[in-house]
Amino acid sequence: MRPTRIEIAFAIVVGGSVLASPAAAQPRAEAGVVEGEDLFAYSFHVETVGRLFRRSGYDPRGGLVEGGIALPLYNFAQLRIDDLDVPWGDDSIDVELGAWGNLNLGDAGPVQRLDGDVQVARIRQRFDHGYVTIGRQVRGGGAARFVRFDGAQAGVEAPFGLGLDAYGGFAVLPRWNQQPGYHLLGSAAAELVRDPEVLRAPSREQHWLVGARAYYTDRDVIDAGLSFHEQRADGGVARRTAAVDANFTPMELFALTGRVLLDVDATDVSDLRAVLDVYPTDRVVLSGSYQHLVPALMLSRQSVLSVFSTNAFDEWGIDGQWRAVSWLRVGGDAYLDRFEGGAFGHRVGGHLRLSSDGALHTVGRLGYRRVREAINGYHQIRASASLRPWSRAHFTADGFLYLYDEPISGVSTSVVGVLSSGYDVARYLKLLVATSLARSPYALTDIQGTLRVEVDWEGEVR
Amino acid sequence: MKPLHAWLLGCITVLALGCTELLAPGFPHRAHLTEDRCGKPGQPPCPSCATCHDEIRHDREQKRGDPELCRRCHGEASEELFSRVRPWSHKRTEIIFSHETHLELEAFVGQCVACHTGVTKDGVEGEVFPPMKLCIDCHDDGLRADECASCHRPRDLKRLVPETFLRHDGAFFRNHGMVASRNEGVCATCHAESDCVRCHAQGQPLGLKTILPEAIDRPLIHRGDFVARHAIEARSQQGECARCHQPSFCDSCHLERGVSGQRQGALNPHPIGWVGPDAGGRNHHGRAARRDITSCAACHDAGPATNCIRCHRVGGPGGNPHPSGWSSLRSPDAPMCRYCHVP
Repeated sequence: MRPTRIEIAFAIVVGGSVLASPAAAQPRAEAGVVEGEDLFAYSFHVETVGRLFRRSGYDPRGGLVEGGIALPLYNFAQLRIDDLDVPWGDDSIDVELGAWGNLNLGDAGPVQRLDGDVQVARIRQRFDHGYVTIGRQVRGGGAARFVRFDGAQAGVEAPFGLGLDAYGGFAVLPRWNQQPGYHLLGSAAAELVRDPEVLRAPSREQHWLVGARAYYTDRDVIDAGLSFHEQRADGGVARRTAAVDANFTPMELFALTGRVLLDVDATDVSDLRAVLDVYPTDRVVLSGSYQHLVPALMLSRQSVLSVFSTNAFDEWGIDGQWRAVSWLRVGGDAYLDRFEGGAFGHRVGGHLRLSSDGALHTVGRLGYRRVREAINGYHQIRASASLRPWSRAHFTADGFLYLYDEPISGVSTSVVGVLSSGYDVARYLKLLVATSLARSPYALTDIQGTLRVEVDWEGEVR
Repeated sequence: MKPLHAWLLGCITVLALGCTELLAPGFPHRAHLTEDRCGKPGQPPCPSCATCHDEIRHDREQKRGDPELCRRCHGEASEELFSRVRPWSHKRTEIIFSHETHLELEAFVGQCVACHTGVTKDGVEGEVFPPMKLCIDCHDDGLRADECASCHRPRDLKRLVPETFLRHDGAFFRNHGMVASRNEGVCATCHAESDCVRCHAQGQPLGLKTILPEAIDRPLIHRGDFVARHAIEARSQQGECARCHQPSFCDSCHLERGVSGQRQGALNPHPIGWVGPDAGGRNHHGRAARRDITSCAACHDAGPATNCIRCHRVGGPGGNPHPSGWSSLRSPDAPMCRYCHVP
């Protein structure tokens, strides 16, 4: 019998909490390295985050609906096994598992009391000149942009620097046991709808994707690829794109990277990016970029709105960082946007970063950012600092001040502050406590508390 | 004391503590190596790197030298002088490296400064750790094989950020997707696929800005008062939200807050003149929709129930929504086309 979402989420939350406890971690730490021949390397990371706040709702007719105290307990677990020996090849298999679970203690509000999902569950066989990966995995870059799928991916390196990657499978939907609305990626609609029958029961078979990327690389100066991606949703075309990407680094002084994404269904360029990175000295990095984007083509082609408008915008940007001395870095960026119809917008920012590796291991940052688009804009001032007075303890303070050009819900200023302190109980066990305070258009006063427990362990089995 | 004042006081205290530490001096290498009175009759022999650091050939833990060596010239004052010097920067990491093997190579002829350039600059303590690209000049074979663990201890890899190779600075964050598609093997040495998904998968109930409050250097885009300014960010960087978020993600929040077109009795957040015959009006929805239809989709993308269809279907009062020159390869019989093109 297949486990339900609730059962799997419960296992992640409870299992993660047990693993994250010092009592559970200690015996594993003592296990250490097993002597003998190398079999594989492993690492696992378990993170439990508990939060405390009072939940309040916003009434569409105005006013505030007071809620109860919320105590969500979030868990993330990741296991990696690398370079596993198998009879047909030493150090040739990698395995990765990643999942999260969430248990809402106290007032759960509109979300489910117990929830969870598998992020990655894949096994990769590496060969001398290729690989095969099966399971839940990701594919990024090129025509794929970023997708998750349950399926297979394979690649082969041919002579003369040529190579081919191909992938295919069912698109990952955030739920896996076909609860109503699970196909709404990241949506809480399933929890908000009183009658689940209102939502169409999705058919997993109608959400699939395939793609491939052929490339050439000399591993030094040039790297270029041609890719294609087709994704189906509810049986229709969600995305059908082709892309050309290239990186050209003729010398250490600069690198040119670019990508053109063509929407085959709309026969139009949906996204074009070019970036020039220049390294005039070891202490300076400068980037210049250009982007042309058609927002409508970022939507699924199953969305009726994707055919309503194909207006584009163009953006020019520069970004620079200067490491003046070992303890001081200066950075800044500026982007100018031109929207069709003649309107302009811009984003400008800069920051100072001071650091010291002395007794307190200090980092201090001071930044300013200005954003202006066609309707509204804001100024942001950010000051943050971190101290590590002892090797096992650290403290951070992070503060933001926002000044809005046009008031949002009648409020022109926001202030957000976060304080955290962490303590490394052992190399494999870390604790962190944080509090945040905010005053914004949506909250006169917002105070939250966070407790995080991390367990990190890695080693080799011989 | 008001909470806001307490926060500001805390931030100022932390910054002040940090700034005072920057004043601590490093070891004056220049003075000892180039400005000492030495080597002449009646003077002590001139020091070299090996005078203090010879032990590092065999024991990498012996970085600072023996304080007893200071006593030869500084006498009783040596302890006080030694205690005033800021400890050497350890970067809290190590590489797998043999000084003895490298110093015996012909290229180095026993010289430390070939790698530790800048060590004689007063107060530039960080420079004593050579950049990775210096290693790559000779050892690029490991890099080609995506093998970092030949130099780095596996447990260090998670904490390291490349400074001189595959630098994660400049516009790297903004363009890392293009880099990742070409260097997946190199990325995988430090990053798991689930690390990608933690940022890019939007189904999680908790964002990284909440999980990692101490990561003040990481460019997490949803920091601060993002909820209040998200509409500004969306309009400023059109289409950027859609790289990770489906419209249904936006709408799930808008539904809850009663500003979605799909909720009965929802508040209308649009200004006067948003809908109506004045298509050239400053507030008319057509102008905003043409500029960034993804913002509209955040509330109005509901398949055949999309309320835009009511006016913009064939024969409707809203007219043809397709821009001039618009074309599509799909069949007019495709289900989505038939929302408006009713036979």
